[in-house]
Amino acid sequence: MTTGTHRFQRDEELVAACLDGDGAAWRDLHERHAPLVWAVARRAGLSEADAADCYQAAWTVALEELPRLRDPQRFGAWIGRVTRHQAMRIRRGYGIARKALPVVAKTDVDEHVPDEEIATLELRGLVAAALGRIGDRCAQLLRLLYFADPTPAYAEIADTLRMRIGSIGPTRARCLATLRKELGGTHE
Amino acid sequence: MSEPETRHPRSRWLTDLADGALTGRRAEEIGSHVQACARCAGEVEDVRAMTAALAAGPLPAPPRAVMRRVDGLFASLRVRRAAERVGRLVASLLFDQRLEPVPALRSCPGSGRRLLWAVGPLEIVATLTRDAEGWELRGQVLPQDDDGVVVPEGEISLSRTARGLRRARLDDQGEFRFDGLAAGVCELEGRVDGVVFRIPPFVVE
Repeated sequence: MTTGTHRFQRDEELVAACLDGDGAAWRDLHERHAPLVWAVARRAGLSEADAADCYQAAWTVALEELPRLRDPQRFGAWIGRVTRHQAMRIRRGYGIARKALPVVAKTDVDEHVPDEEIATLELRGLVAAALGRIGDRCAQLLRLLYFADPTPAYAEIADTLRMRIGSIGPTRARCLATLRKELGGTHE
Repeated sequence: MSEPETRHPRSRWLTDLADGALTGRRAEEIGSHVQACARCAGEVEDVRAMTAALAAGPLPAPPRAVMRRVDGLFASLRVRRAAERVGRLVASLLFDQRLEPVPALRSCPGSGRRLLWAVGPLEIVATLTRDAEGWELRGQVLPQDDDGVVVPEGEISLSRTARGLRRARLDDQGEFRFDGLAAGVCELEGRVDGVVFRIPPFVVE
């Protein structure tokens, strides 16, 4: 979860700041999407060494293409696809040892990381980052209700957060609505 | 799906529905509203996706060393942008086997020092090996966007050598070669598919 000074800014704002030469914006954009890029590289079946190269290649492409991004709001989904493409090239031995290029058929697409999976991975990262913007109380409640395994009893949650048991339900709904609104700002 | 004229259920019930916590008559009423209402169906879908993401938890971060290298890319971008303003791109070094002696990647083992650069829409891959008169540099220019159909055209030139400026035209595989190189600083430039670029100097030793 990024704790940088830019954590409240949307992706398109970070991209614009990078293009203005703001190095801190680049570090925050990188930190925000680092887990997604790493997850896609590993999910594509690469060893840790190859995943490291895939990771660097993807971010290098991102940096080169930053001025030409068509949809900076969807930076995460875009760099996820870039990573998948770089992973595919590595798996095929491209980039270092290849000789004559075989023609890549249109059907010859790597199915290891489909679009839906990139979207799921992206959402995990976005939700984790958004928890840092909706307030500690909501973040704690949502973690206790959904992430903690096993889910604590309501009595225990009420005790931990000093709430009435009866207000857990409505508060949960309010926090999810806040999270949804927060994601609506940074995601679609 | 169009929105019916009825009022929409409160978020509280939609959340409960998404979590499977609604029962009885309320579950039926709200369930049938959601089936007919795009807006509420969307909210239920969003809540399901969010709670699944919460349950799965955050993704692990990559190793710190891997992240540090990317942090450093930005400064070199500024150098390249400055170069671009005078109309010449500077390639960025993605890999140099001399700097990363781990037996990683998909290179042929033991057959020389591998180097890889990217510039604009191109990649340049090269291998440096000893030959009878010193060193040989063999390389290939490839499009990053991998259709495999169009081979780049152009030339690579090598400056600062004992023989003066040397040029190599890319062959029909996009390959080039320089042999009999002396040890020392190697400066390469290229003019390929309309892209004019230089490769940051590297030491042959």
